[in-house]
Amino acid sequence: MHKRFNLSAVVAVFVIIFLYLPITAVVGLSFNQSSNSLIWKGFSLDWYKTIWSNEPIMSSFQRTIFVAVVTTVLSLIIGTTISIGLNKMKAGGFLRTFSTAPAIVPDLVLAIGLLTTFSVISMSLSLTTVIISHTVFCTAFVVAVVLARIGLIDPSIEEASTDLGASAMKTLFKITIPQLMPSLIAGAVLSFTLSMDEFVIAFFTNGPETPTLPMVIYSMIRFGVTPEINVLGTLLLVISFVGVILAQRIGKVADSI
Amino acid sequence: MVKSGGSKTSRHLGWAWASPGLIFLTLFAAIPVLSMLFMSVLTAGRFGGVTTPINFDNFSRATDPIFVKVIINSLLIASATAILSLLIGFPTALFISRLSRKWQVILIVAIILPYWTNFLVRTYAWLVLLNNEGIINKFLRNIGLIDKPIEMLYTPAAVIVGMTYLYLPLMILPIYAALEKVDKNLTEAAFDLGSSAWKSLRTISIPLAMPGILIGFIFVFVPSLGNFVVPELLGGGKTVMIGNLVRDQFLKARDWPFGATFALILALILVVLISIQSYVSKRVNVNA
Amino acid sequence: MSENLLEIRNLTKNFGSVTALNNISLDIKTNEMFALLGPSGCGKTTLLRIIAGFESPDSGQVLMNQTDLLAIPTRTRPVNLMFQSYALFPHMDIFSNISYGLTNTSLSKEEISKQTFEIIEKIGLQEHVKKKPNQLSGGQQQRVALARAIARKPKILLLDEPLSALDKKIRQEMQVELKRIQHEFGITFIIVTHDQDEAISLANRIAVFNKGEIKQISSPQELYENPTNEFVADFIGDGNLLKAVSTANGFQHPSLGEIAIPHNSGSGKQVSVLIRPENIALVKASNGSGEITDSVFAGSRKNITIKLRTNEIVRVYADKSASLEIGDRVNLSFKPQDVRVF
Repeated sequence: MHKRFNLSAVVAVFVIIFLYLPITAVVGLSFNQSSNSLIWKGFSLDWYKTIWSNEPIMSSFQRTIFVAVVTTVLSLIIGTTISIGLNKMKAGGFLRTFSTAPAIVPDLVLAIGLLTTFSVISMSLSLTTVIISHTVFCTAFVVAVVLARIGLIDPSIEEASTDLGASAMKTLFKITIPQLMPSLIAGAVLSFTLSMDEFVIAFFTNGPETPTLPMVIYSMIRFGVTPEINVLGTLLLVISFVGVILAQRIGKVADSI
Repeated sequence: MVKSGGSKTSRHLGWAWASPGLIFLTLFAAIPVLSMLFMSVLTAGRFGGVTTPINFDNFSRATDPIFVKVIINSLLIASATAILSLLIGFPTALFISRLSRKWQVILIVAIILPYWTNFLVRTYAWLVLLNNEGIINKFLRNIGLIDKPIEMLYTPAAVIVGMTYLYLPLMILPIYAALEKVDKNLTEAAFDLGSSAWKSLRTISIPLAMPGILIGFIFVFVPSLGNFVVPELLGGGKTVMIGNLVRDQFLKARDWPFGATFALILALILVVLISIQSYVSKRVNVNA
Repeated sequence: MSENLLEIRNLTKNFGSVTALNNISLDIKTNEMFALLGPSGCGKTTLLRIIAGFESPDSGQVLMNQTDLLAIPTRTRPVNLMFQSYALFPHMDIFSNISYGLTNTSLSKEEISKQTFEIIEKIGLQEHVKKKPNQLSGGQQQRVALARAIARKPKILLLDEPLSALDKKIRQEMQVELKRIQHEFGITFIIVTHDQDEAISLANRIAVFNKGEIKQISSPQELYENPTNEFVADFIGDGNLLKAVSTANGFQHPSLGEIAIPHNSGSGKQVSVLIRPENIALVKASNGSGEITDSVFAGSRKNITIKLRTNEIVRVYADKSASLEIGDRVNLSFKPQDVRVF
């Protein structure tokens, strides 16, 4: 028993190093003095200062946040209404699979399908088309999360609200939505993060004038790496880590309600 | 008096709730994906887009040895990625599943955390590690193992390592989920009965983890096969995969139907794979 | 004399090919404790949900004080329901749960608060006002559900299996409590239950349901003593139903012989004969018609099981001091007026 246990422990330690060594290298190089992003010269915080005046990065960052926020709101509304509807009609497997499938379809297939569709309906590519495209797959994630939760709610709770004289609107906002809150928070965090990081679909469905942050990172990597990318990578890392931890905290609080 | 039954009313109400969203998904998910799959039989327009007539030329064009080689190459790279992920992911999942509850949570979070980082940044990190002046080459030179840097970047191996790095958590999580459910007494019982470590692994842990292994394989294989970013950035354009063909046909050659042909091939490979997965996983369940 | 509060006329309801209610008619009087009793799937819950407004019948009428109840939307019907699962709002505290129905009226905040506290006091929940439902015991949760349902002062309170989730001791406590509250608030209660003990101990009148039809409506005592059909005879109380053939002036049983009872079934017909266990006396006899196969001490009495020659099983309540042992052969005797024939 001990022999195998040790072997798997060795592999596990290797895996943790494997997962953290690359991002640690990026964080380390973000404090590099050198203007070559790949070679260490000495400690400096210069690149953290210059990044704020890097117009392409900053404006694409704003666009990315804008897309992620709008996508999150739309996906939450569409995903929640679909989930409530499917739950009320006691929908079978087909509609459930249909609504969650965009989360499983390879991004490349969805991307070129959407590109083709936008071209057929003569919709010019812009942030609007990116938002529509992101909302498609984020909705699927929201449905997956909310549908799992809504099935656990005692249907008599909504009936009790009606029985006690509440309107359909009041029942929705005072009874149903508070019950769904943990899954709505999870869905929102998922949508926001997925949209913010998404590259392939944005690459195909965005116009040339309005690149999002992942598109800017892509071209930075492709056409000459600048040291700012290390700083950017570090900042994104911090944002993701804080986001994940925050989401877990909020999730715990919401679950206890 | 209302004539319809209560259950019928709630069904109508359900449709009223779900319809707007379902229409949205039909317009921007179902129709795009399906029309894309059928686009391969159309002809390319002069400036991109598509026109009739319907023909099957694209399929004979796709059988050109150059393209067949790309498809086989993609399958090999995606398989190698999935197998490498399995080889290091399974022992890791096994190790985690035997820890105390508290350490299980800590390690699982540690494994998921990097996955929440932008995937371009994670890919870029390997540029930092693998380039000729990078940390690994420098380290090897400093300890005197080599005197000339090893060309690690822009090789198929770099692509495989990069994609393994990107998708490894997707292999570990389902295997861990399967192993975590396994009754620990089972493996202990196997030892009591005089099983060797290897035998108990082979006869108890691996069969019970099989559904998780299959899902993990799919989770890693699918995004690897359709990837065009990693081959481009870490393969330096020398490693071409199906995803690169689709991207180039759509954005450079502007031959959308031909690009759609490769997307269709990609989708078909995945459908076949997922069917095999669900078939095998059903058989495993029956046996277990 | 109290008049009819609720009149149900020819109510029919089908779910697909399943008939949940088949032409049901029944009257419920003001201030009554009325029970709808029957096995699961008999249609009693469907009737409850129609009265509450969660289902609509295919045909028929429900009148409250001679006006059409079905025309009133669910949320404004002067009827409230206490759900089997209690359906308390888990994210609200006890005060908010109980006042919820009042917040859907035009009452002022002060008035809502005043009325809510009145009910909280009457039902004895003062200590729990700020707690969440999951911090309460089952019995306390039920009190909250009850308080919430009567807060709007409905004319009728519907109770769906009110005692089924409670353990035996709290059950008995709650039975008393339900009667007290019904009396104090002057609300008509309609109780749905599959448990005859619950119905008998709570209700003034009981409607016994089976397969979408009402088999009998009467007081608990009447149901027990004078069931009008075999289903009720079997469903209510412990009883022995024996297969016999009717004769001109009684019935003929293969083991028990001929017994004279006036009836109007005609002669030569297959009939079922009901004899309650407490109405049978046992006499030891070496050639007796039955053999004792089991004897269980039950506090104030002995529960005796007898196997007849026809292999039918008869249960008898005997005096606890009776010297009857397993294996003894006995003769069964009973008075003709204690026997019912169907």
